[in-house]
Amino acid sequence: MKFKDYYATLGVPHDADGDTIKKAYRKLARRYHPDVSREADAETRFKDIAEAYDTLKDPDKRAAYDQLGRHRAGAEFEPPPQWRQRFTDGVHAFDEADLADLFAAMRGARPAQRGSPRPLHGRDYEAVARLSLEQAHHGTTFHLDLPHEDGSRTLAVTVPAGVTHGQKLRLRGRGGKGAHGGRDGDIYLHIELLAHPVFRVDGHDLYFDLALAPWEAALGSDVEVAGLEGPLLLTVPAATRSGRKLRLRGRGLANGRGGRGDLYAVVHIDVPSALTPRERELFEQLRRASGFNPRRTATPEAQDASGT
Amino acid sequence: MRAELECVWLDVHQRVPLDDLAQMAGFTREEILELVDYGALPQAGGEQRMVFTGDCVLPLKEAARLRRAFDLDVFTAGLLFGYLMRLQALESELQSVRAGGPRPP
Repeated sequence: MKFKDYYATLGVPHDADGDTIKKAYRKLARRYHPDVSREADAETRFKDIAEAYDTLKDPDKRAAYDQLGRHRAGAEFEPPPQWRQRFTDGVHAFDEADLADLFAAMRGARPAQRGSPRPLHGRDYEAVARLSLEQAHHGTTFHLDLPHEDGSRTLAVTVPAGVTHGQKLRLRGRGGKGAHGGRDGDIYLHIELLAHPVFRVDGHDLYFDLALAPWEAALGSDVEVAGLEGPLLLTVPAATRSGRKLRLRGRGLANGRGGRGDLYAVVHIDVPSALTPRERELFEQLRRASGFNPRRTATPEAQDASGT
Repeated sequence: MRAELECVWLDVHQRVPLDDLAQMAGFTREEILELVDYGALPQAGGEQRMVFTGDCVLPLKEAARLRRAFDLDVFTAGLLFGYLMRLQALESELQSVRAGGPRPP
């Protein structure tokens, strides 16, 4: 069995008290936690640090570890003979165990009970399911590759109709296998919807940009727009301003409860990039004839008049 | 191998009993009660007590994971859970804002 110097791993002296050990662990954990660390060997280092702390924070385990005496890290050593009787985790034979296994299986000063390994809960997995809008709307079956003790495994997962971006699903009992009567783990699926060239998603509602010519916005118009399942006819009311959202009820995504969200057209008014002479003439006429000033409410005079 | 077994939506409409929540999140039953007692974990409301909403599950699970990683007490894990829920809400709000505005160039 190879010796591991847990004190050196945490960078604390052998007579460090519990608070010192905890502080040292947290400092190192923060540095090497895989969520935040950019160091190449962060995961391995974090595992080593956690293993060291798990032993040294427990007074019984620490006392047992101290009994081993001091050895060079990595050196072969022989644990006390009575440990063979105390050790059982039902998973590894004593001779195949390493130091971490011994302490993980240790139940303080009490002798371990033979033949009664603890139930082990199977591993939970989290995975991301990237779906198109159409797949989310109709439901779909896709294949999920998960790491497994024997390599990897592929699951065919059926996602019900009505999922949307950011939603989470639990696939109960489809994770890692439990042991010794422990339950199987779960898979937690995070749903992400792939970007769509036309629609943006908010829950089960869809949004798209609708460009209108000035006369369409001012006079109103019927325009053909893209829906999730094909073209739709949208009636634009007269005096529609930029930024207005026009609602097409029940034309959004399925919500999984028999209904659908809505489809919203976000209006923006566009103008020709170049005017023909006739168009220019007409626009000039309109400018002379109209008293409309879209900036009127922003002038100081208008603010005074409105009391703002 | 088809996985058509129980597929549970973890959203605000789903109701999760205490024991299920404890099991999924990785806290003991007593620790869940402690979080409720601190005011860190709201119940779903209604007539049933000790029932929670599905959207709590993954933030609570994450809080439990951070608790184990950094050897935190339950109270601190409860604080983390609160912030994780707030992050979840903000992400959803951001998604809404982005959807409802014009597509960026």
